[in-house]
Amino acid sequence: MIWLLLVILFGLLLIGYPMMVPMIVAPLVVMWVYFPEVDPVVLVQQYYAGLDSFVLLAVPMFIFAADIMSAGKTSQRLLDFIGSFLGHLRGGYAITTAAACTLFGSISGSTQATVAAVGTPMRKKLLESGYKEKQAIPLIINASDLALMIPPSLAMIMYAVVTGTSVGELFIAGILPGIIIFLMFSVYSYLLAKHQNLVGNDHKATWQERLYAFRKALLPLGFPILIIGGIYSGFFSPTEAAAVSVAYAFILEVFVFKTIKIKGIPRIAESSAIVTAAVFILVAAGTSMSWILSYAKLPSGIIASVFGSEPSATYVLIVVAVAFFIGCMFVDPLVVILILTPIFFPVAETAGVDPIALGVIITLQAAIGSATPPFGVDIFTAVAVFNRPYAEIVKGTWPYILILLAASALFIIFPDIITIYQEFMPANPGGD
Amino acid sequence: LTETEIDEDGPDYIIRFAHEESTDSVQHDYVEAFKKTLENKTNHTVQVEIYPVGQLGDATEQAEQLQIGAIDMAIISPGNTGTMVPENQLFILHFLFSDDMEVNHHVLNNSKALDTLTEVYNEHGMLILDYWTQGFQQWTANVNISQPEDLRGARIRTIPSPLLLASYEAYGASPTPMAYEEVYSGLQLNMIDGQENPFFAIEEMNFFEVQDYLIDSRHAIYATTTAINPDFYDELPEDIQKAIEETVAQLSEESLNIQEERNETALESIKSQSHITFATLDDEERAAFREASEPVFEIYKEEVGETGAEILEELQEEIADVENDR
Amino acid sequence: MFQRLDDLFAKSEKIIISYSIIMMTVILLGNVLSRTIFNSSWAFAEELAQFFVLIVTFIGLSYAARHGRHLSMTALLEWMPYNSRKIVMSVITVTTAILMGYLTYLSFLFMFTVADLQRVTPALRIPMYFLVAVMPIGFFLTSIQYVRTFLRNVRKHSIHEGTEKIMNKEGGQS
Ligand code: NA
Ligand code: NA
Repeated sequence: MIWLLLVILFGLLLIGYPMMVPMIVAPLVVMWVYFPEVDPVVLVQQYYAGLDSFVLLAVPMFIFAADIMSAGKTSQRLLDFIGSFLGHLRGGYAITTAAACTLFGSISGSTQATVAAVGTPMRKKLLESGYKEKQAIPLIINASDLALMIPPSLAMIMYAVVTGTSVGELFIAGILPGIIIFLMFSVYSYLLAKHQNLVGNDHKATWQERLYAFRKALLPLGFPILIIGGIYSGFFSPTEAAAVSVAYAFILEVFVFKTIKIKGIPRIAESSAIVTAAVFILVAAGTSMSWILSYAKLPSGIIASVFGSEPSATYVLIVVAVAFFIGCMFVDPLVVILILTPIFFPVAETAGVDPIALGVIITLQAAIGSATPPFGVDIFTAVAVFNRPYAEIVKGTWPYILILLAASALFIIFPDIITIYQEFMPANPGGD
Repeated sequence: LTETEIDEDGPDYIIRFAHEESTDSVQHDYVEAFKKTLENKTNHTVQVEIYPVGQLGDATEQAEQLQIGAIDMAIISPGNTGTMVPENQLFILHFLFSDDMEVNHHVLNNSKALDTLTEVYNEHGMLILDYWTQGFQQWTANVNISQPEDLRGARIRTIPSPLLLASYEAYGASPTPMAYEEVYSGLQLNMIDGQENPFFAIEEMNFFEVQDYLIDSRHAIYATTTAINPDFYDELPEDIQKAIEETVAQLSEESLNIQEERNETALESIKSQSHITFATLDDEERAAFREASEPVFEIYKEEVGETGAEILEELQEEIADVENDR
Repeated sequence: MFQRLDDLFAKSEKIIISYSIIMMTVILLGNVLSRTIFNSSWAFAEELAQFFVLIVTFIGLSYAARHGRHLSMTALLEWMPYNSRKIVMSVITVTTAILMGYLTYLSFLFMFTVADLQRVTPALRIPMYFLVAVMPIGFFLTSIQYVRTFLRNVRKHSIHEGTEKIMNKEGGQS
């Protein structure tokens, strides 16, 4: 059964069908072949059920907020601010790119929004300072992965929807690993610049200029504080935080920076709505897929054959990481999380893996996979945004993927890095 | 065809039985016991496939799947299906049932009023084989709750049921609907001040860690139902129908013990793990709450209509009769 | 005449989905404000916001199909010679149209199931089948879009991914 499912899924995908088609057809065919007595209406019920989640509402809200900010000045101000501190260093622009992605990641929930918003201005600066296209774009798409690690994160929201863990806690847990990856990227950028003998900006910003850049970036920098602070002071739930961030972006861009006219908002909402629809139809179809897997009791079969009777936590994490990494190379990360998480979550819990640590590691794999050939979604975003050939972008990605895999190994071996925040705040058991 | 059906020595019938709770829960204990008893009773000509943890869907989705025929049986709690069968919302009413579980158990098993409710369920395509309980609903809160005034202004988490909201509004509280998985952090961050659940749930979700008072309030029972797809049931041979009936009757008795043991163990575990202040409502305090709840019974009757009103009134009489006999 | 009707649909779809996104925001924010300032939650906030999710997804389904915005992996397709590519795209659009037609039928059946159970939304007590009706409508509109895209592939020289999207010869996707 699993083979039938996979053949249909990848077959139709490779032919070039819209991704929703294989995801709708695969469960339908499994239903016809293995459960002919059951009415396939139940799959439609699952489309509805998949979308019937309050937490999921955060997805269109964060996309909307990111779209408003991308259309406005927020990302540029963040870049100027970071650039004023790092621009003059060796590899400074590369480090600035990574830092900007980290910061913009703390505003937007998605890697694609980060590629578009940070990538466009940064690519220009990277090229000016001597980087080649095949170095600049891979850096941008991989650094954008940090958007998923730093809260808010659409991948974490999806994981929380499926497992019933707390979104707020996942958000906190992703921060430290996100910063570690940022530092690894920075070190690599420095070494690369040294090797190629690239210099930074010849003008080192004065403290006066830095203060000016900081003041201009002050309001955008308030975003992460508002979101995390709001959630942790009990003012609003993570879903509501997403709506609050829309309001903040709106006020900033329309009334403070005056970069967008209020009449332009429906136009931005339209673009957010299309992205939401394209993702949510996959969420709907993915739910029907995950339902048919449960119905056929496949997960327990797979689990038994892959893990044996008493797998260690590390072994479980390795298998999970590999499965998600491979899955995200082909299919949208949100959908992979939707389908694979219910399969692995129970066994990981039994093996004593912390559900939050699992969520962060899965998020990291989703982030890596989405920038990994052949089908990582960020590669296609970059193709579209920068209008460069696919092959050129793919060629330069491997150093970053190696770095990210090293980071994954680090977190798998020492999951305490992820859960250390629990020392500072009481744990939430989650569950249902 | 599933593998078991291909197997020549395999069962003649497969019952797909879904429930919403974890594999370490009252519902799972019940369904496991059901499986064991029924399979033995039918010499394994019937096989029960268990789908736990709501892996096929939540209560309303399970009810829909019963209708579609994707599953054959399910444990479906009224609290979560009031949007389908509004009459069943009487199980949510505060201070309707007795604080003596033996009384409630007797009523659930012998009530004529609930037979009428079963007919209503039938109109919605569900055959109810049994009404049973998973324990009393209890309060946890930041303040001690001994009189309705204590709830004034308190934000109490509820499921999104208008009738439950009305119950808390009757005490002057501020009911706040919230997803189950967000309740712990909601309590921790003081987004909400209290919540209601049976002891087993309070223990499992660690709500006691972030609350100051645990009140043995018994303000409602956590009632649930064992439901079956009527078409599936009608097509079964008579001997198997009878076996199912007997199994359900037997489990009806066992469920009383299952819930009692689960809730007692949970309470002890809470007491041993925390310094939470434990309180109980005495008869006088219960009377004050019951009086405050009175208007909500009228709201129920108005909203749900004539059949619902008749069921409620008859049930109230039945409960009073059994209580008086004790 | 038909074109004008379609333009009207395109415009309505656009307005519906963009204002649904805006309404979601307004409802969620309103609930936060009401809870913080007046200490009272809007019981209807959740179900109303979720209704807009359904609208955005299923009306957006058609709108995204129109603009060829559904995620797809056209890497293999881009390597093919022009004529094979045109044939494959025609097959893709016509079979997708059929699938969407079938889903229209299935979601109608689901709507009837929900109507039979007489389920309503918890706070506003709106019949559930009313919300579910968005699904067959969305699948139906999407089916029409793919039929039209297929017809364009057959009739015109260019290759169409959506009614409003012509496939870039050089490759690439958005
Ligand atoms: Na759901
Ligand atoms: Na982020």
